[in-house]
Amino acid sequence: MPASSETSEQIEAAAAIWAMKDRPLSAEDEAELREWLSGDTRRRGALLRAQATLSSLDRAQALGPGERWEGPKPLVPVRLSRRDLLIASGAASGLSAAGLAGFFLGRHNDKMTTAIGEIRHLPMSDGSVATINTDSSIQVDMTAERRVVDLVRGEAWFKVAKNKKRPFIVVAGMARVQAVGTAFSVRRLDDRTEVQVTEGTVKAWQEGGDKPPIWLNAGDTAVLTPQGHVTRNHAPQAIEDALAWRDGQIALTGQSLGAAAAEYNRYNQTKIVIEDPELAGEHLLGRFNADDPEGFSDAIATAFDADVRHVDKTIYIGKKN
Amino acid sequence: MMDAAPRHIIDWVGSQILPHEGHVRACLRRARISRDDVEDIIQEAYCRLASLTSVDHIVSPRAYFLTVAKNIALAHLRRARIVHMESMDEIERFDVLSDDPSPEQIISGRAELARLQTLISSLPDRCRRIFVMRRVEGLPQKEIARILGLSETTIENDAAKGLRLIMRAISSDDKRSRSRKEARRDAGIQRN
Repeated sequence: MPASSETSEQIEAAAAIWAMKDRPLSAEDEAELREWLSGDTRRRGALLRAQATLSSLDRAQALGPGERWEGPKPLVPVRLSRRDLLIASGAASGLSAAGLAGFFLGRHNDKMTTAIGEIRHLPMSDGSVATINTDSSIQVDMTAERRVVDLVRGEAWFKVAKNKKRPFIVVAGMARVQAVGTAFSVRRLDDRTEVQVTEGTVKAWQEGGDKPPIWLNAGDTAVLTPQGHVTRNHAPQAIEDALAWRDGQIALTGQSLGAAAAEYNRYNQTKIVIEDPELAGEHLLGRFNADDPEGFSDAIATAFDADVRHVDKTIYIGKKN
Repeated sequence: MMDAAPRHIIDWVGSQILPHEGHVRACLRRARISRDDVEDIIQEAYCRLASLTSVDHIVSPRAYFLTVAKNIALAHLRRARIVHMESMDEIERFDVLSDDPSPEQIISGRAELARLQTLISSLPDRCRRIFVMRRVEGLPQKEIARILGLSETTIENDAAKGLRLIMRAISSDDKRSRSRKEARRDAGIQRN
């Protein structure tokens, strides 16, 4: 509850300064901050909000310093209210983007690979964004006529900036998926390519095949095989679950324990082995953090009264003797 | 403690709560809660989140955030000298459970990330330079003061200003954060 007559605006201003201070704090600052936080309860809330904003910025950049800005983003108008601009009146030089390039001197990096368990956001020079799943690799090739992303391995979700004149094409082996302004994911497996459309419409086809392209709308999934087989399904909820990885999660919607373990093993060096076939056939529901195989194993052990053994980097789950 | 909450809570709030702040604000405003009170409620809601030690049990962060804000708002209203029944009604009607984001909204949360980058680009000149030097290049305040020939206080204030502008833009309750359901309701096309 507000313990003082301090306005939330004053609190926000102070919290922003605390959030931006160099860490670790000096001993004096730390004492002062502790004192400050012990006052009005809104202060801790305001500081959390400020720090969370910084955290989300770091995530948006998907970068440590010096990594992967593809240069400045194209400027789209951002609405700042007059009140907002008042705060900035000290430096009221308007919303000029000049000089920006000097600060975001990113290399033009057209290849990105993720390690096991790693998920990265790659903002591309055309304004599109790729979110790249675990153990995956993409190669970006932007020309004046076309935007081509080669999915060398694994899975990625694309949010495509609209540009009718420059088609956006994802290449996955012989499979092709083309979008204009759309969001969709492509996963390349040994024997097939899976496409899931979350927004808009895409065109998918098998390069060199004799089948005409198919059109997929939001909520559609398709599986393309090198033999030219194409199956299509409409399952919006299933797509949402399948794309839980973008939040670092695995959504289990009744898959067998065996399939769940395989899914975990995609994301972690620590592998889960279900030793008992009966147990492997059990079904599970729920969302779990993809980077926590230990926690997942414990959850299974509790649910099915199973036995869990850790040997080096492997977790064995079996029946209790 | 040097931070508002443990690191994993801060990160979770940044990725799972912040994108819904505009929606929660819009709900509170619709209940005719004054702008100042909305600010207080939001800060108090974040304060409650700061006391979480684990977030594993929170399946829908959006619904959770709305629930927390709802309870704080109700407590505020009950304390007020004049009880606004209309606001109470409106808040009681916050449909927390069936208010899960649609897939489209989850995606707009993704697009939000791209938007954040754009936000940094649109800060006023000096403010942006300082903000980028602090957060992207990770330079200490003292060093930036030396490079730009400005006082450390100026650097500190400008960096904080940049952060506040970005927070403002993120939380602005614009159309982007309205669910289709609300849009339908506002348009008077309600089913059932």
